[in-house]
Amino acid sequence: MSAMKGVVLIMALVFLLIMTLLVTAMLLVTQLSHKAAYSGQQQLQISQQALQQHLQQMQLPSDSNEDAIESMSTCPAQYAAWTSDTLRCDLQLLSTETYSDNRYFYAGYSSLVLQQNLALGSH
Amino acid sequence: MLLRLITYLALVQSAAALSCNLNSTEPVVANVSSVHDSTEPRQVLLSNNVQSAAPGTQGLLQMHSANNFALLAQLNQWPTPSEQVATINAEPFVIDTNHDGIADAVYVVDINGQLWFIPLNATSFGEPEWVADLSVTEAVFDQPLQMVQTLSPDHNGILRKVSMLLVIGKKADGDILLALKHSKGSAEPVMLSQLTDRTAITADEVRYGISESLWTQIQQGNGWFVNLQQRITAVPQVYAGVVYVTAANGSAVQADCSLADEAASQLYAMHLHHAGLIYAQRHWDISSETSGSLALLSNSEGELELSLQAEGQVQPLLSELLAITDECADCVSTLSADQYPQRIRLATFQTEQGAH
Repeated sequence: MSAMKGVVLIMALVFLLIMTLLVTAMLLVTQLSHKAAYSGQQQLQISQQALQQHLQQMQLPSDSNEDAIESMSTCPAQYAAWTSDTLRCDLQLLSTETYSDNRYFYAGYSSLVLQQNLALGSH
Repeated sequence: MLLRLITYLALVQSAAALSCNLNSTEPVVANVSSVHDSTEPRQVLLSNNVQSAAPGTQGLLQMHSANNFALLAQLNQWPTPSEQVATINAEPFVIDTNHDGIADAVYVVDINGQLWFIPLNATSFGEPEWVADLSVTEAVFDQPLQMVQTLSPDHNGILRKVSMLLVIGKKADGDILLALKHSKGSAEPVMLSQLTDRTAITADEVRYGISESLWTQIQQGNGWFVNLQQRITAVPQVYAGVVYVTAANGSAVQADCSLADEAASQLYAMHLHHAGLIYAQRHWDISSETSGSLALLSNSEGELELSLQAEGQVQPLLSELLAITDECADCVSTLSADQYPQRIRLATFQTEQGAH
């Protein structure tokens, strides 16, 4: 009789263990899938934010992030044309990088920019 | 025969009277690709009849090395029935079409108004392409050529890259300023009949702007011309799509292009694409004490100012400058120094990491 009770107890314990494992696994899977689903959204958000920062950076006159690739001998044709030598043109590569707060996500943008400068004398 | 003689005499007489010469005495410097090393350009000098001291009746263009003045190439046979063109006294204009710092071609005009486009190689001239025949004007073409690369609306209104050449012809009663479009590979030379006469502008145009039909006609044609009835005293300059040029009565212009005492001179400002109004008037009197070249300068307040500049003397002509815009035929916007440096985004791409 007592042997029977022992078997029942072990069975119950094994059942409990299996149930615990099942529940834990299910919880983990749910959490993971949630994370997986959210990460895409977060990446999109960071890309959006990075593009916004990149375009803002382009408006600033600072030239900390740029590399002048090429100084053009004459400016490309434009509707409001200029006699040569008055307008100087440079090609620049502007690159910016943005990380998320936890640094898990990253987005970077680069732009090819034509910078026009007036070459003026003064008096 | 008699008519020819009279025309010739008139030409000789007018040529003697038309003494204001805006050409540089020095040959034009051009960078061409080096023969040995493709990365390092070398300088050559391009001389016309005047600089080559060959004042004959045949057109001549020479290329000399800038280092030792050795003759590299010369062009004295042209693709005309007689294999010749008239004397070339006007300063040629060198063009770099692909913006790499190496000259690709040169524009020259002979004294009768035959305009040529000549490709440049490292050591030779290419086959000349006949751009325009302006001989109908019966003017003398011995003033320097000016050119801007621009986007010009074609007959469909689509902006296309063209070279806009500004050519000055001297006639007995005054100079003619011609603006003509050229794009490489044009089959036929441009004739004067394909240019729109913009000497006079109607009262309606002054009030309401250029008419749609006239603007379409100019877009379908090859440019425009203006009979100034005056002598041009400075090489035309184009700033933000506005052609600026100074002119004065022929009798007041002296040999060095300066003016006789108390002579009135005028500043012309015209739309590059149709020679229409930019400011309230197309030309107005300026109290020009100095003569010299037109230049865009910044004044002590940092504002843009169009000035006449000569030997250390600067005379302001115009502040509060305007720029043309392509939104409409007459659209203009203000042009100020604080708009520069101006940045134009050509392309943006996202940096990829670990992507396959």
